[in-house]
Amino acid sequence: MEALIKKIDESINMINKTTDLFYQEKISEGYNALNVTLSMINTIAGLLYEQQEEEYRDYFSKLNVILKEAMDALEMKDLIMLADIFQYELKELFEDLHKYLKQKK
Amino acid sequence: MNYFEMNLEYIKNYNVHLYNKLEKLDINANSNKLDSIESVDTKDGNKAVYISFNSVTYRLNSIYRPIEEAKKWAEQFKFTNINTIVTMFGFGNGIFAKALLENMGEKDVLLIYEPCYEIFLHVLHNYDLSGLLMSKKVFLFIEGINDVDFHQALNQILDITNLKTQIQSIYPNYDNIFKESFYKFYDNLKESITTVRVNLNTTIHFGQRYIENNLKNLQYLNNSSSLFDLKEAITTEVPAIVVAAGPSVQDNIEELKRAKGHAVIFAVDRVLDYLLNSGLEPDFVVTIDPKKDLKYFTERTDVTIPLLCYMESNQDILNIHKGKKIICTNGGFIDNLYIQEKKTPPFLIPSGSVAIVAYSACIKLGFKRVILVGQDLAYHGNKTHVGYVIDKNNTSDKEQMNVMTEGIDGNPVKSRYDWKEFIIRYQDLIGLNKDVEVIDAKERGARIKGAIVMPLKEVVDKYCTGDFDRDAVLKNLKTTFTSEEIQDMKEYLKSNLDIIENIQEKAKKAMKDCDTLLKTSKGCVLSKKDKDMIKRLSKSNKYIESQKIYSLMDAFITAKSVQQLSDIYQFTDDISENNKNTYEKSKFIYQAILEAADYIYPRLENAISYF
Repeated sequence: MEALIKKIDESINMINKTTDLFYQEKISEGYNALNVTLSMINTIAGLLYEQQEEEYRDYFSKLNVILKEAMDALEMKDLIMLADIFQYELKELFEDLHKYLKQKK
Repeated sequence: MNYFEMNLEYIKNYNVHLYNKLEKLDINANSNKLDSIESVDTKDGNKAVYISFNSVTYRLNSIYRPIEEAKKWAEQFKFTNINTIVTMFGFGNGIFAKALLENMGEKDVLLIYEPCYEIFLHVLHNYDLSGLLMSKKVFLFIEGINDVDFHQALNQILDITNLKTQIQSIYPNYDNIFKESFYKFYDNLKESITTVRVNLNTTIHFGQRYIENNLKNLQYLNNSSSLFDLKEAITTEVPAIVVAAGPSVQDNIEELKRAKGHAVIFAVDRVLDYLLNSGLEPDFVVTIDPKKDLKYFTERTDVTIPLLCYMESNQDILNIHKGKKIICTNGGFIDNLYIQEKKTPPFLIPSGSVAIVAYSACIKLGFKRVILVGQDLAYHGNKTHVGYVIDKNNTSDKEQMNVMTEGIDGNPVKSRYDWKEFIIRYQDLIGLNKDVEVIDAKERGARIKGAIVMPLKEVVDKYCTGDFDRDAVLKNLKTTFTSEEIQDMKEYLKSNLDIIENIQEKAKKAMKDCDTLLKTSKGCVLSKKDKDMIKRLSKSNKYIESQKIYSLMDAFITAKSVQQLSDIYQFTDDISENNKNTYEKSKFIYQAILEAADYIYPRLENAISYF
């Protein structure tokens, strides 16, 4: 659980960094940051998947839906949409998950 | 009132020039026609703009939170300096411009260029633009409406103090959507920056000479006429011909002789002797250059052809010239001499090109048809000027000065970077004076957009059919100042000696204050004594800069302190360091002011003795 909380904190920071870069049209740096962010998200998804409780499965499903939307935006090269999804959907989900995990502790 | 009416009202009250142009708009002239445009609601209750252009759909804002998006975008631009010029390609729905404006300082300025009139019209109808339209910091240029003013505005606003700190921004994705307009915008920007640099270099180059010429030439105000006096006396029923010194003049000399007496011929200084040696006396000669070598005016000592000149034109030329001087001014101290005697200063926009000044004079005089002869603005082989003068400077070392530009036949021709500046300047002026027909009478050379290319023979056959008698004009030409007014002027000039003494005093005191501040104000907190000193410095600055004679000193001061002036408004996050830099630079500039005052004083005394 500690590992998951730590990863979520790091991911939120990376989401902020990545979205700022895309909002500021710093595309190349944005893609580099995105790679790191996606790697972190992947780790979080893996950790969620390993858990037995219903709530974790719920977060996992929501994460998948958001990621699908984000990847659609990336495929369309709509980086602002991607940034918006990360900033207002994904980050919200992670903040919610973070709160949930803290309470569980 | 709906948004459209409200926004138009703001434009009418705060930007009447744009308002007038909006009223005369030809919507079909818009070059970036959209397939469609709409605004949709965003998730946070704002609006986002969607456009379809060339069958591709673009969303111009975040569909989630457009205001947050704009704020994040604007954060990349730092506004630590003062007097920053921000240029922005793309207005969109104004949200990004608003985000910039919120971060800008009091003295910063935002110039926005919108390439698509339809977007602007849509936004006028659907958004409250009060924050932008009412702001004194914001200048709007819409392609197809007032885009020609963008270049002019930049040239006026950019100067030595803000050249280095300007910020260039692009509304996200606008450069991809409106590629051609973006290239045009960027070219305009580059050209303006180049113009400012060229003007700055000219100022530095002419610093002292500018003062000397202005003061030495004061004696010629007696018995002079002004450009306005000439306007009253001259007929504009015939066309004006401006003869520059390009190689093609040689091909046109016989036609020019045919035109004599049927057009008003203005010759630039450099071509005078060539014309006289060829048997053609122009009606007027024009000179502007403060340092022009006499040999590029005339080798004769009996030239009485009326001379259009500025007060800063080369004193040696004005001295050797024996005829009527027709004075033009370009602001500052000399303008004030006219105002003191309740006369309108004969202001004529200066230029680095004497031919362009001659052209501007023709516009001011009221000519509706101006014919350009000898404005090749391109090399003819290695020749740059008439008389087959080989440009000895055009060695391979100087190749970097050469540029390619469009020729009159559409093919590229070799030109020079300063000639290219002149081409742009002509195009600006032609664009601003659409009621004046400009004919470029040459068969080779650089293309000047907006000018009709026509062989001189055809021009003379078609348009040089009336009569013009220059001597009759001179008979009717008034002298600007009476002898009483000249004596008044003498007293006014004497009073300026006292002002210069005050400036010297204040500059010396200011330098001492700067030294004290450098020693005492180490931190961010200033003592009362320091604050009083700063107030005194501010008062001194206001006094010095408000004196009319200061405009005469400006070129000298700029020349001496160009590095300090170019950095004066640049700041870091370290307040203490900023203060130290400011006092050091200010001290240097006060030293330059003192030197300028010391330089002017004896020369003004000398000038007064000529009255």
